[in-house]
Amino acid sequence: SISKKKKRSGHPSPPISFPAIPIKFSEKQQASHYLYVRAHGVRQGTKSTWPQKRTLFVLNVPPYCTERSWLTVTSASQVQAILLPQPPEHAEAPPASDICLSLQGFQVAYVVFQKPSGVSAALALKGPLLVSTESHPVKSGIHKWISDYADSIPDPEALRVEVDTFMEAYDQKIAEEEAKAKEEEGVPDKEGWVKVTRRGRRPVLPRTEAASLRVLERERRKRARKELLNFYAWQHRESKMEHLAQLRKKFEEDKQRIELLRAQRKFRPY
Amino acid sequence: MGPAPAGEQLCGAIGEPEVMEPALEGTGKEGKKASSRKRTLAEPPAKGLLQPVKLSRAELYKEPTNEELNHLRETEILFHSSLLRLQVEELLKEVRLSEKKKDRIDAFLREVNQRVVRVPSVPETELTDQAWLPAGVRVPLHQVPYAVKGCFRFLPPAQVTVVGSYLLGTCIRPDINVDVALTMPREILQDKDGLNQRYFRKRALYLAHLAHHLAQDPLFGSVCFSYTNGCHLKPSLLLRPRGKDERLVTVRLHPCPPPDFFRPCRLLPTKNNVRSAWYRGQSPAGDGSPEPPTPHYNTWVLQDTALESHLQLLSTMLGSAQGLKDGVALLKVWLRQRELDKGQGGFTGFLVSMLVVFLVSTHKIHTTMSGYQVLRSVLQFLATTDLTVNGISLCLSSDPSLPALADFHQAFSVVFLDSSGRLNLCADVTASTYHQVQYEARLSMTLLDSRADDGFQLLLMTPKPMIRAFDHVLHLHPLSRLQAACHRLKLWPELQDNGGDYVSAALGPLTTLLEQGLGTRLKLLAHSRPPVPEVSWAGSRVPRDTKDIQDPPKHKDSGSLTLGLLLRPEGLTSVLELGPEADQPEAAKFRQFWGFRSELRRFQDGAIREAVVWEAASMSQKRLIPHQVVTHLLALHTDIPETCVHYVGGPLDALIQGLKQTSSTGEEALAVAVCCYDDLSRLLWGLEGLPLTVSAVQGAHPVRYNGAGDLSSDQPPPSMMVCHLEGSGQWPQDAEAVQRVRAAFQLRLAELLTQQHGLQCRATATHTDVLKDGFVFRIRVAYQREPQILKEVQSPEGMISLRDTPASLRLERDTRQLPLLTSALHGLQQQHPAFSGVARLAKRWVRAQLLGEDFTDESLDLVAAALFLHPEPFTPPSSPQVGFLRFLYLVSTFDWKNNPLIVNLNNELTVEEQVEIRSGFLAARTQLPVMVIVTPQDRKHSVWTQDGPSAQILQQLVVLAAEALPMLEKQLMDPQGPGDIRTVFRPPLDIYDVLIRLSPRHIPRHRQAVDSPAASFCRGLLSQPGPSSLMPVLGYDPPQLYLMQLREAFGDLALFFYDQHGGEVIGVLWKPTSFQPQPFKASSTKGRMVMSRGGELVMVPNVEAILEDFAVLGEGLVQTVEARSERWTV
Repeated sequence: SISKKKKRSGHPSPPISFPAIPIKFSEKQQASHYLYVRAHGVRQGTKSTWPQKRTLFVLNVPPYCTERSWLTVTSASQVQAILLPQPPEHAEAPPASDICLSLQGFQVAYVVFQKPSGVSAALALKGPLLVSTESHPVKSGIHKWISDYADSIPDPEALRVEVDTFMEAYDQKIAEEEAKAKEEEGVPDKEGWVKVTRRGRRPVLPRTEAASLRVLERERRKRARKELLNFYAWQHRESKMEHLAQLRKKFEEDKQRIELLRAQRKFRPY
Repeated sequence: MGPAPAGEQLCGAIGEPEVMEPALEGTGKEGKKASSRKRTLAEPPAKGLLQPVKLSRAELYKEPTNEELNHLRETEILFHSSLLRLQVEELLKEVRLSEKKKDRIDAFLREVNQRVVRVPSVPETELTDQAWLPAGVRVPLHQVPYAVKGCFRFLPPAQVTVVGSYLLGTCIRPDINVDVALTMPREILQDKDGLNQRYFRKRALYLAHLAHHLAQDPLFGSVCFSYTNGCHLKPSLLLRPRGKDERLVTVRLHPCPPPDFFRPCRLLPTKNNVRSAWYRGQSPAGDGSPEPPTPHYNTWVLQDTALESHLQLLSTMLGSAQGLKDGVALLKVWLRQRELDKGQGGFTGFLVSMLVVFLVSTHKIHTTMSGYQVLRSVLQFLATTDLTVNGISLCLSSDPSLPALADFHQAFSVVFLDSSGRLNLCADVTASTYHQVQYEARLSMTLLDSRADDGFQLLLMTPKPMIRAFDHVLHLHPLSRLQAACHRLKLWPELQDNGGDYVSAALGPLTTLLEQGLGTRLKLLAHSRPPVPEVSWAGSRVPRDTKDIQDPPKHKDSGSLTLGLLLRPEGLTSVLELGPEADQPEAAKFRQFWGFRSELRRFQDGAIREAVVWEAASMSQKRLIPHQVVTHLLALHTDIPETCVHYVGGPLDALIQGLKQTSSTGEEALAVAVCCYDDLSRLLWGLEGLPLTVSAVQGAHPVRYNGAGDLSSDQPPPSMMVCHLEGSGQWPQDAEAVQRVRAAFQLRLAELLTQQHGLQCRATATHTDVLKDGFVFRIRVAYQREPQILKEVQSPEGMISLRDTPASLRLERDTRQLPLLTSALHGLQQQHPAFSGVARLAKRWVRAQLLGEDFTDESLDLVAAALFLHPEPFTPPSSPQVGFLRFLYLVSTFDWKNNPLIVNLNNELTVEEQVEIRSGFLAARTQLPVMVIVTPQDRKHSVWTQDGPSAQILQQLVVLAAEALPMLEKQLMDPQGPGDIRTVFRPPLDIYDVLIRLSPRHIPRHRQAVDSPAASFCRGLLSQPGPSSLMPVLGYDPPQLYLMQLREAFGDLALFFYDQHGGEVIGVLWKPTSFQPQPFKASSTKGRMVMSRGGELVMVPNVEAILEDFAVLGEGLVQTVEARSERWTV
């Protein structure tokens, strides 16, 4: 039960370009969210994925709306497709939870109608729209999580099939690439350059950052070995000066630390 | 350099509910968080952040001046480092008295002097006739027995002398005391006043009369009695100035006899000066045995005669050497932080000054030494010299009439003679106290020798209160029980010597008894020193109400006696005290010592021995065996019943106990799980039919060392394992393909485990779940080159370089760093059995504050590990209780802004590497997380704190810890019993805007709640115990799923707080920034609605609908949604 709040003064009035349609989860709720809708239009010349004129652009879609629930909300027959832009896919979802939740917050939707008239009909909707009705209940809370959990239990067979198909295609791709590389080996291109690869008769260093760094480091060490330290008087003088500079720097650092501690009243043993 | 600004915490603590609001603003989603973090951290150094030092070349390389070179050389010779030198100088500046205050004190002293000599005299009366005393004045002494010969009259003091540290300039703030000796005129005293407390009676009457007159004087803000070093025969009068200087200084008046009044030979430790006939009303046993010596009584008289000579000695030795004075001041701070100097029989600053004098006279300290060197030398001396065995003496003369050191050892436990060779300065110091001093000195020396960066902080600035320093403490309460104990222990001569102070008399035998009984379980036993009471003397000039004047305190009034036990983990858990073989003569002694608990037992090697066996089944019970030992021995030998022994060792264990096994804190369940894990690893190694054989299996889950809190729940989360395969060139070199091949391995693994071992398995693309003996293990196959493949980036020129990506970092963390950390912490657990308890208490507490989500398990484990790996100035905790207190101390004082927490697992980091890490940290501070924890495996990134907490959440935790610590310590130190120990575990709920209450039916870990629910729901329990063949439901955690949904939908409007260990409530805080009306934008409509505000259309959060959404999203789980504040009404 939700503690009642005093009604807000002033009815929400939408900006002219975006009519507001109230939407609620079900009859039981008292307050509603507002969908802000507009006919989808793009500037002349730009290309759009969605058909012009037949698409409705909807803002602020509540989290519990699924694509299916849209069919119940608008007059179903006219809707051709609903596109909720997917959030960018994670490379490999963190296995924090065993259930791959269809996580969603407030979203933006593009509703494509069969006819342009559908858009204008939708724009004229007064609401409040209901997401979950008796005839088309939408699961939420515990029921949703339980069914999500049941759905998340994997089918090893399907997984195996997916792996096999992918690997087959992959092997084929690799084989093709290799065949191509073999063909090109030692053959000069148009300007006469020959591509040298690791696979040739005389393999070369791989072109990686790590490898080049390794080479540089080896060079440096070689040079350092040859150098004489504290041999000339000026070297000696300089190393002494360097030591002094280090001490000064340390002293400066220490002073700063002390200053900080003093500011924090850190020298009070009581 | 640990601690964080104290002032900051303080103001946070006071205005806490308000602080939360602004503190949390700006914490949004990931991006926002990061930016706010950078903003708060990149503030100028004025806000308390260290910056890398930038000095120009010219400054760095300019020609040094002579002065500079000298300073540098001096620093090198006299101090460890320039930092230490600066720190010491700062500290001395802080504790030393300023000249201005000295002047004010001097003026006050002059006033005191004038008034004291003007106190009117009183004609002579018998000592027992005290009718002349004005009404309302009580003699500050227990006159038992009352009858005593002799006469008393009051005459103003013959001489008033300032003695003690004030004149030497070694007194330190706070609590500036100036000791003033009042020499009583010879006319007051009579022959034989040294006998039967007559001198002390006169002394007390002298003070009583003095106090009565001084109390009328408007100069004094307070006039009260106290007792010199807690010796209740020797009251002293404390005077404090009236007005704003009241806290500036306390002048202590000590009456003393005229010089050469007492004959020193009468006061040797072998002599008796309290006759049994007088004290006990009976002559000593009729057989003519000699009167028992009264060494302590004699010492107290002698002390009064030596006040001035001690001052002279000190001022000649320390007078001109500033280094020595600094050293004494440092030593006083050192003692004070360890609570060694206060109370009856403390190791006072005076003793330490005399010790410095001793070391100067034996040429161990030179007068040109710096204060730091003096500190070091004295600690070195204390650490290596046992004054309980080899006493020392300042006396240079070889007069044969002087008593031998051995005589003093006979009479006192600690021996340190003054220059007269007759007075033992350490007469009141008990052996336990001295051993504690020695132990602390040894610890401090190790710390100094380790050249730790923050040695100064740990040595001189970290307080070591008893409850935080000792693993277990016990209170003896009420103290009056000790009187009976004295009789039981036949301590009559000691009582006679101590003037009836049964606490002091019983203390020595009591500690010896317990030390012997605890034997190998014990590293150190310390006792609290009874505080020196101050008896108030209201100090007003008007005729006072007699209620204001208190009687002298009784011995039992000093509250309770607290003993601290520092335990030795190796011997702690043994349930057996092995005695001698039955036919040996020692057997009888053993039986006598242990009483009825001693039994004859036959051992496996055929020996029949006396032995005591304690009942303890679980680890937590074994840790509490000292409790059994102590209560048994006290009841057996001293008649102190169990009800008077309040043992504080395990009250916090209740929070990490499973509900089903109330006696265990989970170590046993953990052992079973580890065993099962080992079995499964063996199966994996021997698995046949995998295309590549398994080369290594690593545990990667906290279950290996401390998952017991989770194990006891109905739905334990699966334990992670990482399975490495033998190397092969056949792996594809493409991220997508590697994933598929891994998936194929997971499938195959499940198949083979089912086929070959009949285990229930479930494979997915990323892992295989295996059910074994009731535990679920989640096996992940790892390919070691995979992180590298994920990192590879090809530049346009074809150069391949490696760049961290979120996916590669996650993979590295899960398959490389997590197993490494797990094994390191497992090793730590083997070394320190208390680790798991501490880590779980710490996690329990952080989670209970609803802040848990921001702190990963690993980060909290590492903080707990730091307590064991870097315990200085303490030793590693041996009980969860003390470990938890130190956790709270660390959290509340560590300066996370300017320091990384270095957790040197396996001691892999060298000192140089640590220095390097620190400087690297300073340079990269702004890019690093708020809380940086460095381990040998993770020197730069602090992976476990990458994703939080935010600065605000961390600050909130710091504030909460700073509040919880004193509260909990007070509870534990309360001799009446700790009360409700869970208080500090209950979160403050009044700061939240909305509370979402959850239905317990759907909370899987409901039974782990801080307050165990009266009824809880479990489901899916088997009708018969034993392993089942059905795969349990895994990771179905409705509150977590609900929170994920809430954060996804409303994350930019509010913050959600929840205790994942069975919390019943979710706290919601609105973010004030999100509640600012915003212009209409397509990207910012989330959950908002359009309102017209002053003719303008703005967007504000649609709070009413959102509150209903909370209920809709959590249908079935949510019981109620309470909106508690009206703050959101914009």
